[in-house]
Amino acid sequence: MWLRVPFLLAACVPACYPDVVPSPYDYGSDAEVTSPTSSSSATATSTATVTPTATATATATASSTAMDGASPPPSGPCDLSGHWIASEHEELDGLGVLEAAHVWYYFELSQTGSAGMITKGMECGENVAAISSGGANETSTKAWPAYQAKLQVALAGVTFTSTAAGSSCTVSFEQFYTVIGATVPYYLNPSTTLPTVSQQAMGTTPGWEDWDNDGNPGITQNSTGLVDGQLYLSARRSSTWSGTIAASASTFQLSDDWTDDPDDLGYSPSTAGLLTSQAGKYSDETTQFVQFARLSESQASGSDDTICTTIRSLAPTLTPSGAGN
Amino acid sequence: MFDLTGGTDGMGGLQPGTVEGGASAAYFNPALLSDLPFGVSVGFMVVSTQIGVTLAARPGTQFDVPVVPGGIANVTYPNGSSIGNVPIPTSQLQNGFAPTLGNPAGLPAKPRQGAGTGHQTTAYETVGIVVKLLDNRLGLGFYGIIPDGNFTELDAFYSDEREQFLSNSLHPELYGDRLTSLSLGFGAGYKISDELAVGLGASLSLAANVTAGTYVSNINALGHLLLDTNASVNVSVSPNVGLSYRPTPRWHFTGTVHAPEKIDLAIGFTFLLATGTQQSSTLPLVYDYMPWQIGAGAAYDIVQHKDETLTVAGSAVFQKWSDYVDRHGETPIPAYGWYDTLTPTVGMRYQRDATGTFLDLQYKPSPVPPQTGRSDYVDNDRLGGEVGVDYAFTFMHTSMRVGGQALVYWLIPRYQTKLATPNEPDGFNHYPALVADELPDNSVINGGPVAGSQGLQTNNPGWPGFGSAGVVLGGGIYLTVIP
Repeated sequence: MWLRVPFLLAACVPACYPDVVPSPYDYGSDAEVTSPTSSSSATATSTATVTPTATATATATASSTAMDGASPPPSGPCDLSGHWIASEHEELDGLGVLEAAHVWYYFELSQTGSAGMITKGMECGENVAAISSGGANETSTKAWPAYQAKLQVALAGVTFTSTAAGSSCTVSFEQFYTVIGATVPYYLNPSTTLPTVSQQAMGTTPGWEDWDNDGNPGITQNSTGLVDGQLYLSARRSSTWSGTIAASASTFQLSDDWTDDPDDLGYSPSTAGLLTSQAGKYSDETTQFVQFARLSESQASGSDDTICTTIRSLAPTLTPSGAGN
Repeated sequence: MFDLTGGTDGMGGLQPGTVEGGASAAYFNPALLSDLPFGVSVGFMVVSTQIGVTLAARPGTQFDVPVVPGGIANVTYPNGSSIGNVPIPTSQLQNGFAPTLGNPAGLPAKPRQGAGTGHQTTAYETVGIVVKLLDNRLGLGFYGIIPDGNFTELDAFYSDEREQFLSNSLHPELYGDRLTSLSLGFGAGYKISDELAVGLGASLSLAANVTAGTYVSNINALGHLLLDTNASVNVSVSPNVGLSYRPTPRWHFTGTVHAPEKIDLAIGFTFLLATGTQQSSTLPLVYDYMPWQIGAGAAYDIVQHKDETLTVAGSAVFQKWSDYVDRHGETPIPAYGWYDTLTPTVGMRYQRDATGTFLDLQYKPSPVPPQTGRSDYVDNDRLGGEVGVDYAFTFMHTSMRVGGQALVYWLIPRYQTKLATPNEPDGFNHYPALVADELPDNSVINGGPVAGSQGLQTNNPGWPGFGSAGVVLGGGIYLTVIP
C-alpha cells in the first residue's frame, strides 16, 4: 500500500499546480483570406490580387464610369473595333504546386470586314500568384513601365479575324510573341536564342536589359511564400487566342494557347534555387484563357501611364476571371 | 536524473558525494567505492514532477499577429525581401482553421499552453554493483537508473516565439525529458592509504547522427515523399574524479569534479526535388546538458560508539551553468546569460545497531535569470529534503540491506513580466534580447502597408509574462545483497 503513496500524491498535487492561461478577451475569429480589391469569397481557386497603384485619381475617374461599358457602336455584331482591356490567366504546375500567371493589356482594335488588327497595344503589368499552398507569389512591379513602353512594338500589328457564325462570332488572333528583359524587337523571333547572363545589351548590340533598373539582369521577380527569393530572367512568350463568343458581346473569353521560354539569368539568395524550377502548363486547358472587356473611350484615356494605371485598377472588376479574382 | 534524486541505494541521500551509500558512489564520488563492500543492489523508485506554468493574459488584440488579406506568407519588407520566420496569425494559432481549397490540410488549433509538459510521473528501476579487488583496496562500481516505458526520451522545444509553430507552450527547462533519459555511471576507487582514497569514474554520453535523404516530387503531397535514413550512435563518456580523506576517525572530507555531460544529436536533411535541385541542412540538438560540477563536503561523527553513530554532514556543489546549451544547441541570449550556482546541503545520519536513518535539506538556486526578454526558460529555485531508512540483516547466511527513501522538493514560485519592446519603425530588430516584433512595422503586401502591423505583434507564449511553481515528489526502495 505504501508503495502507492507517491502515485497518490502525484495524482492529488496537480490540482495545486495546474497550468493557468487566463483569457480576458476572445481571440478574433478567422477573417476570410480574400483579395483586397475583390468581394469574391475565399473559396475562389485563386488568391491573386491586382496591386492598386498609388495614383488613385485616374482610378477614381475610371471607376465612376466603370459600369458604363459603352464603346462607340460597332458596325456589326462581330466587329471588335474599339478599346479593350484584356486579362490573361495562365495556370502552371511545378512539383504539384499550382500557380497562376496574369497579364493585363490595353488594346485598341480596328476591324474591317472580318479582318482586324491591334493598332495599339500595351502590356500594363503582370504577376504570379499561388493557387495551392506551397506555391510562390512573384511580382515585378518595377518593370511594369518597361513592359508598357517596350512591348508596344510587339503588340501593334497583331492581326485577328472575327467572323459571324449564326448568333455567335468566331474569333481568332494570330500567334504573337512578346519578350521581357531583353532587346525588343530583336528577340521576338523565336529562332533567336535568348541572351546569356554575359550578353548585356550595349548600344545597338542586343542582349538582356535591366527593365526594372535594380542592377540585376533582366526582370527581377520577387517571390514570397514557400520559396523566398529573387529570380532574374528574360523570357519570350507566345500567345494564340481563339474561341467562339456571343455576338455584340462587350465581355468575352477566349482560350489561350501559350508557350513560355524563360531564360534564367540568376537568383538570390543562393538557396533560392527552387525559383528556377521549370513549371509547366497546367494540364486543364480551361484554366488557360484571356478575358476581354470593352472600354468606353473615356474609361481609359490620357497618357500611356494614365491608361495603364487605369487598366490595372479596372482589371479585377471588368475581367475578374482573367485578373485572378 | 542523478542530480535530482541523489543516491538512492543507501545512506547517501542528497549528499552521496560525501556520505557513502551504495553503488551510486560510482557517479557521485568514485573514491567512496573503496569503502564499500562487495555487493549487488536493485531498487525501484517513482518521481513525479508537478510544475504549473501560469501565463499572463494578453492585454489586447492589437498585439495579435493579424490575419492578412492576401496571405501573411506574402508579406515582405518594402524592398521585397522576406521578413524571416513568418508568424501564424494569432487567432488561427489559437483556434486553427478548417481545410480550404488552397490549404487542403487546414491547421489544427495550437492553443497557448495547450501542450505543457510540467506534469509527469515516471517509475524507474535502479541497479548497482560493487566489486572489490586488490585486498579490498580497489572498488569497482556500476550504477544505473532505467526509466520504465521509453528506454530514453529526448524532447526538444524552443524557448521563445519559435515554439508557436510547434507546441505553442512553455516547458520546464531542467525537468521533463531530462528525467527520462538513461542515467549510467561507472567508476573505480582506490584506497591509497587508510586515510586517503581517490577515484575515477564516468557517466555515459551519447552522440548520434541521423541523416535523412528525401525526394520530393510534389510539394503539395509531402506524405508521398521518398525517404532514406542513416543513423549512427557513438558512445562517449564524461569523466569525473573523486577524493576521500579521513584525517581522523571522526572527520571525513570529500571532493569531486564532474566534466560536462550531454547527449548530442545531429540531424542532417538532404532534399532532392524533381527539378534536380538539391539542398542540404544540418540541425544540432543537445539534450540533458550538465555543466562542469565541483563538489566539496565534510562529515563529522558527533557520536561514535560501537553500536551508535550520529553524523552531521554538509556539502556544496558548484555548477557552471553559464556554459549552458539548450536543446537546440543554442546558448542563452548574452543579456540573459545563466548564472553559475552553488547548491548547499546539510544533513544528519543516525545509525543504531542495524538500523540507520538520515535527513538531508537542500537549497538549489535556479541558474535562470528573470526572463523579462525574448527567451522563456522555465525554472525555479528549489528547496527540499530527503529522509531515508536503512536496515541490515542476514538471510540464509547472506548479509543484506533493505531501505527506502522519500524526497520532496518545493519549486519556489517565481513570476516575471516581459519588458516592453520599443517601436521599430524601420522594421529592423534593434533589441534582439527583448520580445521580437514578428510583423515589422514597415511590412507591406501588394505594395501597401499591412493593417495591424504597427507596434508589437508577437505569438511568444511567455508574453506578456509568465510564472511557474510546483513540487517534485519521489520515493523508492532498494535491496542490497552483500555476499
